[in-house]
Amino acid sequence: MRRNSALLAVIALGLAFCSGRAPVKVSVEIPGSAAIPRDTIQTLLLAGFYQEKPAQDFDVDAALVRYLLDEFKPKIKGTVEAAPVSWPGPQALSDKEFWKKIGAGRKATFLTGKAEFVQETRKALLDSGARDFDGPFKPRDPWTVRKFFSLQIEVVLIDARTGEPVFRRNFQETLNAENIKQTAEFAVFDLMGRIKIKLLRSLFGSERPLDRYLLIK
Amino acid sequence: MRRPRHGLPFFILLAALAGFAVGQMSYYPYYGKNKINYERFPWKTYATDHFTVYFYAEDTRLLQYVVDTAESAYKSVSTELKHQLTEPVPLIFYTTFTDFEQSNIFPVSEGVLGVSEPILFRIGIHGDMPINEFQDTMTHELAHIFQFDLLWGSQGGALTAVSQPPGWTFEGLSEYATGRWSSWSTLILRDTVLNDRIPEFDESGDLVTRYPLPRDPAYDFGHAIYEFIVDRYGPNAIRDFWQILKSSGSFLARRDPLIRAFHQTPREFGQEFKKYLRARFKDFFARENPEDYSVPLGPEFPINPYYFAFSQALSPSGEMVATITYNALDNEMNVVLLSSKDGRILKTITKRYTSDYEYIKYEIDPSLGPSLAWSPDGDRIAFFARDGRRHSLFIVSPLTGETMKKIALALDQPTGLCFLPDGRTLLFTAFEKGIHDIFALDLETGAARNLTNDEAFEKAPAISPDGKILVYSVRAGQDDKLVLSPLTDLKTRTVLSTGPGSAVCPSFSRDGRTLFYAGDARGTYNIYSLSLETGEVRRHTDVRTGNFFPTALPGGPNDILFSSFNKGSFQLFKGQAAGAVETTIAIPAGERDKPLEKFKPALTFELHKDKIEERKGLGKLYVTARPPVDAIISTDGSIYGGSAIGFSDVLANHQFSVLAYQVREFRSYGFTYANLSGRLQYAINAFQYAIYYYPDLYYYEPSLWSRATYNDAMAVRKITGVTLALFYPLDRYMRLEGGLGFYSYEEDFNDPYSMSSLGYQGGYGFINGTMLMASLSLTGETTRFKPYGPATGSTFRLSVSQSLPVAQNFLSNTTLEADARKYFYLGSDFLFALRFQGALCAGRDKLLSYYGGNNQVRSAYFYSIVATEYWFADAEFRFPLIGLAQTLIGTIGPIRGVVFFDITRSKYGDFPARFYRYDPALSTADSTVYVSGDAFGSFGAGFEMFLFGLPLHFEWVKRLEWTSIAKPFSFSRIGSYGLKFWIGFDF
Repeated sequence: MRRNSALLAVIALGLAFCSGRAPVKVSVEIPGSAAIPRDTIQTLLLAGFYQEKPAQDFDVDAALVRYLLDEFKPKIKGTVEAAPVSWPGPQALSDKEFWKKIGAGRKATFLTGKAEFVQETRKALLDSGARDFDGPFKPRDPWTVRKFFSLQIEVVLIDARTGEPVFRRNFQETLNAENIKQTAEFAVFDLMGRIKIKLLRSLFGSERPLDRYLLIK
Repeated sequence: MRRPRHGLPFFILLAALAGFAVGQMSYYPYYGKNKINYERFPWKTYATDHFTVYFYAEDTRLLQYVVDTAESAYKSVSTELKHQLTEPVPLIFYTTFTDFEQSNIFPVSEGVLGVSEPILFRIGIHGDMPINEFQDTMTHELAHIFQFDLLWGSQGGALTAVSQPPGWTFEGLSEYATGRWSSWSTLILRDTVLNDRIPEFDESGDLVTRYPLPRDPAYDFGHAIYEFIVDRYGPNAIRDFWQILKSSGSFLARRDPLIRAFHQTPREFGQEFKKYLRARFKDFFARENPEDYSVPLGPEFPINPYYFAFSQALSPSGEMVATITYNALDNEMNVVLLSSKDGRILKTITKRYTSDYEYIKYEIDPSLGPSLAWSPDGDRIAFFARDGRRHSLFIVSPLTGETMKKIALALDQPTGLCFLPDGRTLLFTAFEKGIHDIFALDLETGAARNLTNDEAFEKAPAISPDGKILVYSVRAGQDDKLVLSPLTDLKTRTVLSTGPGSAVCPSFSRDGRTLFYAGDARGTYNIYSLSLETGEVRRHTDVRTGNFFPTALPGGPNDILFSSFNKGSFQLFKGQAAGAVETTIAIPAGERDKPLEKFKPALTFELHKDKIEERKGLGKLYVTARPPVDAIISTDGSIYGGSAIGFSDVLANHQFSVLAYQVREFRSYGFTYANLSGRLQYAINAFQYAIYYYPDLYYYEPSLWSRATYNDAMAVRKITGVTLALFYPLDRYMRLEGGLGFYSYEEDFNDPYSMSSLGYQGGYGFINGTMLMASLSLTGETTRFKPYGPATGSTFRLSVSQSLPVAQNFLSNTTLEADARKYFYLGSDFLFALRFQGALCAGRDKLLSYYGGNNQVRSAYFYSIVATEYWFADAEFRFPLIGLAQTLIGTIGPIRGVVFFDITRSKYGDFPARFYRYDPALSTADSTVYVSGDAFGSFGAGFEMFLFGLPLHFEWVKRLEWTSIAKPFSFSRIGSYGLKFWIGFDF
């Protein structure tokens, strides 16, 4: 009986291990929730971004507008245009009357906000071994140089008829470039590439590719 | 036409190794042809903001072109991709294409305009092209450098790359970066779309096509894919796509980049792409197919094996057409004659597999003019062919195909042939030191005279029947314009085509009153005619794809022969197309030195001649290839492991390599320096090799088997030495090789004490001593290869090695070796192959040779014949059985049959030249009987198949023996047929 019990236990365990509940991995596109359904936008006006301290050598605002124009045109069925405004001051962003006046009753949405772009050249000393090296070979430079870029933007969507903001969100990205020849224009492009993904996801609920596991009996 | 542009450099140096001293056969049985560096270029450098330009041209105008186009390309590509390179790009400029072929960095073949490589980010480019094409090529190659930088981060990053994205992602972006579509690329794209032959994406994301295309779809369809991406997803999408490619590792890693970038599977993306293309060319659907108004003459692949009519020449009588075509059976270009009545192939004029020239020169771009011409008297056909460093003009008889005359040219890229009416002069275009002009060649004296001698890019000259007027096309800006000049004064020009687009391929009507040409004013190349009397311009066709080379046929005024691009190839058509009057122009009077629009790069720079530096010394050295890591398990269970690393200078003229490997406890090292900068090349090799083997005594001493193990019987040969090898190519097929080497041999049993206790001392053919040896070889190979092996031609190698009497205790010997092979191609992959091989080593310290088995002497075991003098001969009849076969284990093939015969005779030291075979039938327990004879060999049949690229041989072999070689027809057949299997390449 004991031998039979042991045998039965082994058989039971074997059947349990062999039973099929293998997980199957699938990749799915998970839609997000859209802050604004893109079909509802008839006209998107890119009004530019307010900068407290504009960069001297490079027009950040123009680069951002150009980038967003290229991004939104294929994604929105309505029209997308650049509509630069003259900023009376930072308070204009919250001034409904300001936007109603510029909108002139059009059934449109302004995309605007604030932007702050920082670029620096940073140097760092390497470990002391590089400096103390003494021999027939040329020692490597004791420091390394990087270019640092930071872009912080607040994106606001404003209904042109009411002047009310319908979307507001902050984004910030930084970039450390080993290539010291990297230009500000190209860095803004790279940084906007990262911001765009988050912006579109939160704005239009773009799909996110995720892996899920299905248990199949 | 641009060809593959990037890849790791693979120039292989034939370095002298110590193994040649022992007379062993090479594992790879082919000697190779020669790449000749005809001259040593005096390199200079010039640094710009983004490039280090390497050049040697004396004319600084060429450097100005290079600098302007390079920096213009950098500006446009950098702006397009929003990226900056970290380091200056080494840009190596060759003045002519034939100079470019001498590069040690890049694999260059006919048609390659430029190359870029991903290790050191070098670009190679030549100047034999119009300036606007030079700009496009520069932009294309520089775009590749940006791609490498985006993908792999820096110079050398590709060394650690595991995989790379599909070809269309690279080539398509480079074509897109030029911002232009050449008329040739547009033609291919449009033809493919209109004939519904658009390539598709396979599962790996590569573009694949079921139909033949004139060039890799990665270029033109890749270009169209990027335009589709921009059209559908915006201009930023390209950069986003490349960011995703960079993070993808392999194209299938975790998630397809197309899905990640565009949320579409490759299949969905491909379907949308097809819709885009069809919408783009929808206006052309309603246009004509050439068969709507003309009759196809051919070539008609696959009805006959000829594919593509690259160029044609009509006989003076109009009854025959000569065309350059690709022979798919023989895998080579031929000139064939077709009937202009029904397209029947009348004759193949050019010899098959000739070594009179390397290949016939032809152009895919019709605007460059015809690649062959028929003389006015009908007795000669002329074409250019590659002959050594440059091209030669070959004049052949259309009746017999015999070469009547050959004239070598000192010019580059000749094309656009045109006989003058007297038949004694031939006009053509060519490059002379980077400038493209029209030349007149005196067929009697062989002297070429430059008729235009200017900076304009003239093409395709056509002479009027009375010999007074010349019409040709000239590159003006981005287009080609037709120009008319008196033959006696080519400085006076009348520009005939002033409308939009290009006009190419001019030819006169038989009465000389009408000029036919191909023009693309309507977006495709159609046949036009211009009345030189009334100025009436008539358009004869409205084709979807493109019509070229209109030639008036005898008959009605609208009877024309022309070439049409349809369904992926050029075919000849003849027809009557009356056409309609398009316009009437007033033909202006000729204007002396009339300026034509000249292409200018977007940026121009001031050249600082004081910044030009002579290049001296080696400069920096770079790792140029990923070090291999080899691990092999041999049949005796031992493991072989090793690696090597190579360095070279930026021009790859000086190459260093270090290798190290080990099998069992035996280590080998080698260091090589090779200088490839001139025609005479040399290599210095320092090495220590340790190899182990099992000496013959273990095979031939059965009494030893029970007393010693396999390991005990192992012998080790250690060779330490330094060699100097010299290579001097006489021409493409023959070279001289010389060498001087110092060798120290140490050879003994691996465990000499153990073998000594068994009564075996050293001296069983072991070599111990020092040797200083000089050698000289003459090697030649004209053999042409097909995928299964050699097909036609011959190969030979004769060498002599002499040890130098430095000291009494130095090894002393003289070795003569000969290897000769001949292949007779019988057609349809049937061939007859002969080989003779032999060696003789004389002197006090004779070196041993080992051979036998495989396809040397089939009835002997592998390397079982040991000799100091030997010869063997093989004869094989090889024939096709199966092309390719799909099996359970994969695709195998081709499968070929063989019937073979071989014979050998050998001599060991002072022993007589006889073989001995143990005969068990005659032997008894008390006496062992050996049969001897002068020679033995084999006869039999078998087949060869290829599996995973390895050639496998299965053969049934019967042994033959000759008691006396003086009676060659008196031989014995020994035993029955035995099955033998071996892996190796045919000789």
